[in-house]
Parts: sequence; structure tokens; C-alpha cells
Amino acid sequence: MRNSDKFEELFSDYIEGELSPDNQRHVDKHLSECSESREKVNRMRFIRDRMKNLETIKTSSSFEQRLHLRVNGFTGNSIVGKSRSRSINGWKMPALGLLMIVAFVSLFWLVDLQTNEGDLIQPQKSSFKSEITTQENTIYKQSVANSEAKIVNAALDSSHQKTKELEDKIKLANEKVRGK
Amino acid sequence: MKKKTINEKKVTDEILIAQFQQGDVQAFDVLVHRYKDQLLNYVYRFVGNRVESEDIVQETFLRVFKNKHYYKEIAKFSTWVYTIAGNLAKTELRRRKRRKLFSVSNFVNEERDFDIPDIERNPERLVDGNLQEIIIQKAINKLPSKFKEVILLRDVQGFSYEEISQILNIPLGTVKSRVNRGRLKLQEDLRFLLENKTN
Repeated sequence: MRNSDKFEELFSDYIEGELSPDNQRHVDKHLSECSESREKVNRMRFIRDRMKNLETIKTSSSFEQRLHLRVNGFTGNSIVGKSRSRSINGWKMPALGLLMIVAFVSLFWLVDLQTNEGDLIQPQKSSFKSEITTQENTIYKQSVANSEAKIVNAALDSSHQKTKELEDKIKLANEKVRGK
Repeated sequence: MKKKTINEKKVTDEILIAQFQQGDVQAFDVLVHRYKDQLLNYVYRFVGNRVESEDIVQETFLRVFKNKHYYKEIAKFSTWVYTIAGNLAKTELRRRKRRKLFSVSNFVNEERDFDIPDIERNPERLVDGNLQEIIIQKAINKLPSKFKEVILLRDVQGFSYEEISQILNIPLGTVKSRVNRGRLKLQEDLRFLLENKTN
């Protein structure tokens, strides 16, 4: 290790005046003899001083307003009793989740039940329906038959009527012939 | 209003955080007002991007708000808040590094962004203070994180070695060693800039 390298480890403390008196003297002596080290120390001192005076960056004018919005978003506009509300929220969400799961399961169970009941009711309904249909068919057939009968009867009546009229005409005709 | 200002100045950070822990949100506002600019200054010099730096400082205060009960008066409030800000800044740099690994720009020479302007041809530009700041900031950006953080805390923010040791949770000797090595690296990178100034 070069002599300069050994002293390099002390340069920062030397600049800041934090060396012991003995070390201070040793570094002073070295710097008086080594221009390279002297230049290094000068540059380090200049940079340190320059950095102390770097332009201060300021936050934007809306910084605090935006922060308040984020804080309010986090607290839900409720700051008092925050630690308590946190503990409430601690069980609330799982309970809500459980409730939703139970609701879903119940819903599916109910739908499934309805479907099954429908399957049971359906055959009875269909047999009852077919019975009704049979009855209806019978009634309909009867009514058709009745209607047909009526038509036939009406036709018969009509033919009877006509027959009677014809008989009357014949009788008249016969009387006329006898009268001559 | 003047009286309130005087009272605010007298009240220490530790009293304010204690009041905030009791539920006094105004105490939190005072702490924000006190620390927002200096934290931004630190983070900006670390990360190099103004918008991201403000986001990091916002996130720092949000964490202070959420985790106020974690603060114990063993350490100073400034130590705590700078620790949070520093960790967030380092996380951002690591994230950038990962993004860069997968970036197409890996195939492009980006050294151009970090080239120091050719001052030797225009020495009169050395008197331009703004240009000096830009050049110094570029040199700071090139430092490894472990040197950058101690240099910023010591030379820009003005913390003592003991405070830096607490903020970064590293031994005092390590802090001094890193400050020294950081300054040596900076003076080497800025040699051309400083040869005219220091002679």
C-alpha cells in the first residue's frame, strides 16, 4: 500500500477537523510533501462545501392537499377511533365474505330444490292433464255427436215437413179428381 | 396567528408525534409541513426524478400516518422518517434497475446521458453555478447507493455521523468510511471541473 493510500482514509476526518491532534499533524506533514494528496483534499473540501449549498428542492403547491386526499382515502374520512375501527374492520370483512358465501350456497340450493320439485310434480301434472284431455275429448266428441244429431234431426224434420206437404198436395189432387 | 407560529416552532418533533399518536391530526400536519421539503431534497438527490420523488415523500408520510404507533421515543423522529424515505428511495432504484435489465435500451448506448459537458473547450462555463450543480448531481447519480446515501445525509442534509448510523442502521465506523470513499470517488469524477477552482 502506498503511503498516500494510507493517508487517504483520514482525508474526510481531516477536512472536518475530527482527527486527533497527533493524526492531524501527520496528515499536515504528508500534505506538505505530496501535491497529489493536497489536490485531492482540496477537491474533497470544495465538493463538500458546494453540496451544502445545492439548490433546495421544494414540494409542489398541491403537495399537502394531495396528501390529505390520500390520508382521507385510507381512513375513509374517519380519523377518530381509528385503531378501534381497524379492529372492527378486522372481523367485518371475513364475516361479510362468509355471509356472501352462505347466500350463494343458499341460492343455488333453492334453485336446485325447485328444479327437483318440478321433476316430481311434472309427471302427476301430465297425467292429470291427460285425464283432463281425455275428458275434454269425450265431451267434445259428444258435443260433436250432438251437433251432428241435431243436424240430422233437423234434416229429418225438414224432410218430414216436405213429405207432409207433398202428401197434402196429393190429397188435394185426388179430391179434385174425384170431384170431377 | 403569530403566536401559533411561535408555538409550532417551540414544539419538538417528539412532542408532535406523541400528540398525533393520541389522535391529534393537526400535529401530523405540522410534521408534514416541517419535513416535506427537506425529505424531497434528500429523495430527489437520491432518485433524480422530481415526480417520483414527490410520490416517495407522499408515501413516506402516508406510512407515518398508518404506522404512527410503531414510533417509540428511543430514536429521534427525524431518524425514523428519513429511514422510511431512504428505504422507499432505494426500493425505487432497485425497481428501475430491474426494468432496465429488460429494456430494449440495453442495446443502445445510454452513456450519452451521463457524459459531462466538454468544459475544457468552454472554461468560462465553469462560472455557471447551475451547470456546476447539474454536473455535481450527475456525479452523485453515478455513485453506488451505499456511498450516495451517506454523502447526501452528511453533506446535503447535514446529519451527524451518529444520526446517519441510526438512520441507516450501520456502525459509526462504516458511516465514516463510506463518507470518505464517497468523497474520494466524487473528487475523482469531478477532477476536470475542480482543477480550475482549487488552484
